[in-house]
Amino acid sequence: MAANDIYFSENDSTVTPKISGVSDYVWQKGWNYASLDRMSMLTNSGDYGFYGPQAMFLLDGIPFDPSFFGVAYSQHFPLPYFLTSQIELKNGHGVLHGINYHAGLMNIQSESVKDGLSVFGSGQYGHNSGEPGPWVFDPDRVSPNVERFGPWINGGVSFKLGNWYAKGFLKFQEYKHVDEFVQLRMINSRRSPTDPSDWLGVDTRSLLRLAETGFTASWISVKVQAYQSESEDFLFFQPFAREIPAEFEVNQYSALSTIHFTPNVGIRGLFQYREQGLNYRLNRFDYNFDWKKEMNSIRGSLFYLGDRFQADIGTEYELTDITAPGLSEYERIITTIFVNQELQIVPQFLISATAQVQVSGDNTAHMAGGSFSIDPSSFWNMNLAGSYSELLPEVAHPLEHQVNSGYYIFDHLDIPFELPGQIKNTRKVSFSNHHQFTMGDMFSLGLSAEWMHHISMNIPFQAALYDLEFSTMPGNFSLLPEISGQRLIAGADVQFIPLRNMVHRAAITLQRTLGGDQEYETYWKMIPDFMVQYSIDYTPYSDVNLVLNLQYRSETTWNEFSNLDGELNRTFHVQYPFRFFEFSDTTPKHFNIDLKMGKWFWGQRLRGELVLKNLLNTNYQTHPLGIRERFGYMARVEMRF
Amino acid sequence: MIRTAIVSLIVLIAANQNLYSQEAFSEVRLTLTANKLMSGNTLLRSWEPTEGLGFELSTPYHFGNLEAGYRYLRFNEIDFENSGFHSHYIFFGWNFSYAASDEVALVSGVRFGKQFMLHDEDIFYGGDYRFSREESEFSYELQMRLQYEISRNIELYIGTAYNRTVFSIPFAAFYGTAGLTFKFPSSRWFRTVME
Repeated sequence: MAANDIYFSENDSTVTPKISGVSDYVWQKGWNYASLDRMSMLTNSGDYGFYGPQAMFLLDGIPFDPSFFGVAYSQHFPLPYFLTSQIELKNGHGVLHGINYHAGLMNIQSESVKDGLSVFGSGQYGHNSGEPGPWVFDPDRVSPNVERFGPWINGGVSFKLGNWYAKGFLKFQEYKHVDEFVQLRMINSRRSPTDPSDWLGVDTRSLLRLAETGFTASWISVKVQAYQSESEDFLFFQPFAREIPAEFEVNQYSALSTIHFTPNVGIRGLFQYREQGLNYRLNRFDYNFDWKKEMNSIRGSLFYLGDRFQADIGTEYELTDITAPGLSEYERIITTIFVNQELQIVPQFLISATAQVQVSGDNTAHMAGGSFSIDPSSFWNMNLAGSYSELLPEVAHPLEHQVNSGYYIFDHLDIPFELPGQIKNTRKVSFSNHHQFTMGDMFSLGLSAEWMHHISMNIPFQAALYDLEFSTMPGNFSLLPEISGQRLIAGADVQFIPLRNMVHRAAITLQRTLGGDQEYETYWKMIPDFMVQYSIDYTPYSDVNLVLNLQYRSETTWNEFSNLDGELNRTFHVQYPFRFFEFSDTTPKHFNIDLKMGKWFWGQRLRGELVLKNLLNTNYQTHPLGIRERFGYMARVEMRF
Repeated sequence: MIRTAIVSLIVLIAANQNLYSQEAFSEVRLTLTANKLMSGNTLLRSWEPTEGLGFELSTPYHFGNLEAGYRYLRFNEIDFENSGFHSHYIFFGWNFSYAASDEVALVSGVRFGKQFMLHDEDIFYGGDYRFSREESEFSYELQMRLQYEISRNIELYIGTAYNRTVFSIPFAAFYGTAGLTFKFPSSRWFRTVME
């Protein structure tokens, strides 16, 4: 739940996921996501909203960054969806296995490597309803809106011998997204200069390659990982109020090691080099991000893991170097010192505390929190927590910080903007309470509530303008400084296992703005007040699995698109004939049903899966400029040897 | 009322697993089918379907039967020149047989698949807007049939199916089908692959 304990993992929701898209990463965890295309996502962990500081991503203990200017791209997640073993979401700040995080954490575990040689391959294909059918021969009814997802092809090999393993895989994804509502993509289409029959800019492709090797013994573990990812894609650039075509590139090299001096005492170390690039892709606008970020980081920590006392104390040194037009010698060094500890005073009573101090130049940010956990009875656990957090401007608002330092992308894109000369730290205080009731293996109930006070937030706001030809034009972009207010997040989650092969899970999340500046109240209207997610996971036989997901989501209002509300949205020249739709700054409330069916063949070597999405075939929208998702399907075949 | 419905559903599902268990993948059934589109909506205003052919493969599962199959029909144009197309429906599904007597069974089931439509030609609008001759979309089908066992290895059936292809403007149709089924004991490798 969103309001779950902030600092440590006991109360966090950790369930075996069945991932077939980005929405599954936050399913029943209390987080919200908004996506224009179902591939990229803005996430809200509850802490800072869609345009605030975003959560950190961790895969098998190694951080990765699939995000560009606040939008995470699932294409750049360094694992195929179906190899996801577990997902754990954490809010706020804290330390997990020597890794410190500031604004939430998505901790992903991949399937473990099996002994001997293993090979896998998978193919996936699907699309959404809306394909015209044979009406292509009827000029009055034609519309070439065909959303194709695929082919998505994954292939990999792994080898494990004793304590040593190695693995590698390729992940290729292609999709063509021409939903009638996302005209921002179509406007980027242009005939190829070399081949007039070729339209550019609508297809997106991504390719990711990963290689990893590791060694684990009783006193030492070492892991070395490298991955490269590149894609021709679309970047939702909030200051520009639209998506624009771009080329992404991520290269990351990591070395992670843990050494035990005794069974209880040891050190951890992580070195990372990450390179992210955002480049030009042929389009109708004359611009080039030409943005490249290089990051070197070293983390080291000393830990003690006792039966009743656990502690982790360490430091991180991060050097970030960015080259972009107008930005020369942008080099930032952020040094962090962190400490995390848990003490079990008696079996029924545990206290924990965590703290971080970040230093960048003359600026400092402090984070501290504590909690205690009590078991009033054998079936009841209660947790109380409090936290204060502070984020540096280069951490909370890196783009605005870079623009203030000289990056002239706003001028280049003709975006009127207004930024404070000095961006202040983001500050927040919160208190949470969680109760967990467990009755055997059959039933569990979690109840949680979190109150938070944003003492000072900087809210990015783009007053998008309406333009018939281009749909949207950038209005004035501003970083609204030092906004404050209070929020309440409450939730309940239930798990009921009536049969050994049937699991029911439900999660309810209620979020309210209690008070604050007008800009604050407006900002949080982008987050649904109420959400219910319910699933039945049924395995009638060992080779067949059925999952039914139901979701209700209340409406949201995105004030930055209020100038577009009620205006017409027109299809563009590659669609025939022109059609008109109506913009709205409100995404409607929605009830959605998805069905997933899977069957194993050949002794669990071959698997077929069919996902039927949005069975009620109603418009589902998470972003005012995003797709209106209707009925769709996805078919997948997976082989493992 | 709701509580009764939920409890009944749970009991029904639990009971089904035991009461209706059978030996999964114990035989293979190959069926050759003849199909006729009996009635439908949108598509039939501009295209006239011919009779079609198909085949189905099915095998018993723990509960009901699993199946996969293919159906072909040709649609000749009425309104738009050179717009005729070949329809290929590839599907898989699940069905349940209710034995009315030793020889007669009533079978009902659901199928999921993809409808491929290969038109005779691409078409251009305004000289610039080209639409591919290849169309495809998700399609589901509800079927019901009456099955008669002629001998231990041969069956006949007649049935009907309601098919819906979820185009932007959906196409719905009722098909009439006659099938001749040949039954074989499954081989060991078949059971290995299916399990």
